[in-house]
Amino acid sequence: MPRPLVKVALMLLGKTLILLTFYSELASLANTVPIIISKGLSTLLSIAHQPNFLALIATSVLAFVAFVTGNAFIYATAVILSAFTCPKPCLPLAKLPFFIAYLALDSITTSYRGLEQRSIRVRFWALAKSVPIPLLVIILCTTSATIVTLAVAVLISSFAKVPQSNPRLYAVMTSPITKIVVSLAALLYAYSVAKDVSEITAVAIAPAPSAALAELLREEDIDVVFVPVFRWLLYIALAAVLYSPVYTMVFNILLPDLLNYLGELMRMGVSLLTYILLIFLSRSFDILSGFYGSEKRLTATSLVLLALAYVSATKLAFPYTGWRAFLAPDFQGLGEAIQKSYVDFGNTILTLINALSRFVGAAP
Amino acid sequence: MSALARFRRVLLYLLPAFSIAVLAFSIYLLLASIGYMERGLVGTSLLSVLIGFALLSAALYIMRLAVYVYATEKSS
Repeated sequence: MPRPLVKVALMLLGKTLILLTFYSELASLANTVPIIISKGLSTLLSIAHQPNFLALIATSVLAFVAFVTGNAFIYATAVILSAFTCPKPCLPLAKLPFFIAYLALDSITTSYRGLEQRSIRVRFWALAKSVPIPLLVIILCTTSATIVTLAVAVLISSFAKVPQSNPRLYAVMTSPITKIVVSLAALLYAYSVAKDVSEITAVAIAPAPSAALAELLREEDIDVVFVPVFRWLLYIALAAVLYSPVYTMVFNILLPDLLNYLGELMRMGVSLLTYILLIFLSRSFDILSGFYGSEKRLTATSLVLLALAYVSATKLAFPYTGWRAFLAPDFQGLGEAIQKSYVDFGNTILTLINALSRFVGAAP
Repeated sequence: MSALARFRRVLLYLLPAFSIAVLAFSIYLLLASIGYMERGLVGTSLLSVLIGFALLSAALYIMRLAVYVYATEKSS
């Protein structure tokens, strides 16, 4: 009977740890939520004139979600994001011990089944030998991740040395947004490097032949086609290229009534949602992403886009030629509409980048 | 039989050697990118840092394969 009691106690302890880690962030969330409810989201956006405040809001929301669900991954994300809440990116030293304690508690909670205690006998020499191996793994992977982070930090610090003869480039390179994006990418990359190095060290120190053979025989894990890093930047650019035709075809030609019926904010939300969907969709145009099985996705996406173009061109020609439009769709008109929307989209993007650099104080 | 065994022993060292060569080249590219950035060649610097990170990933992948091959050979 003591099992559920102990589990509940462990869970409560974990929640207390999360609360202790993020008490200031949660307090600020409790302060800002009434403001949002009473005065609307626009007030909050007008307050948030610096990235630190946005990071603080994101951290507190993530901390609340971690507190409710007890998810270790969300907790880790909140801890990492809390590095950006101070004016300069800083290491959340006070939060890290709590996080490590929570991880230990989490593994105990998931593996503890209660009433199954028994003692095992370990020789002292075996115990002494078991200490340096994990230590070596940890030291090596931490060192490699630190080296990667240091290299990127040196690169970021030398951003400021970009000649000031090109003021526009200088403004982009020294803006806080660029630094935050580059540091986040470096953080993700350092994590993957540390993971690989720890795996290599562990297998090299304690080789397990059968496990290694099983790993070598797993085809989808070994036959990796070369995958360049930072793929999602490419997807975002590809989605920007695909966005205007798809948006023109779906919302301007096929469903114009729906768009006029929606409000300004809803329209913005719909276009944002379309863009995010396209980022995921453009993965299927990436032939390198998965060599096996990606051709089906590629075919399906291309056929859907072709069908969309055919239907919208037919709808453009329908009022003039009647049912013959199915045989002679108006591709010329469709192309002109798409060209116009490309120009509009480019203007919007330029205005947005200009406004954003003013927003973060990078440009006057 | 002995020729085959010798060939296998050479193969065992081939993957680590290849991996270390790629690793050295990637470290060179990362250092070069910092130098380019200091001289103000932004595009060159970003391109070389991208290539350097890709090569670092490749080196780690080859090293992983080498380690698994080594662990498999350990039994026989």
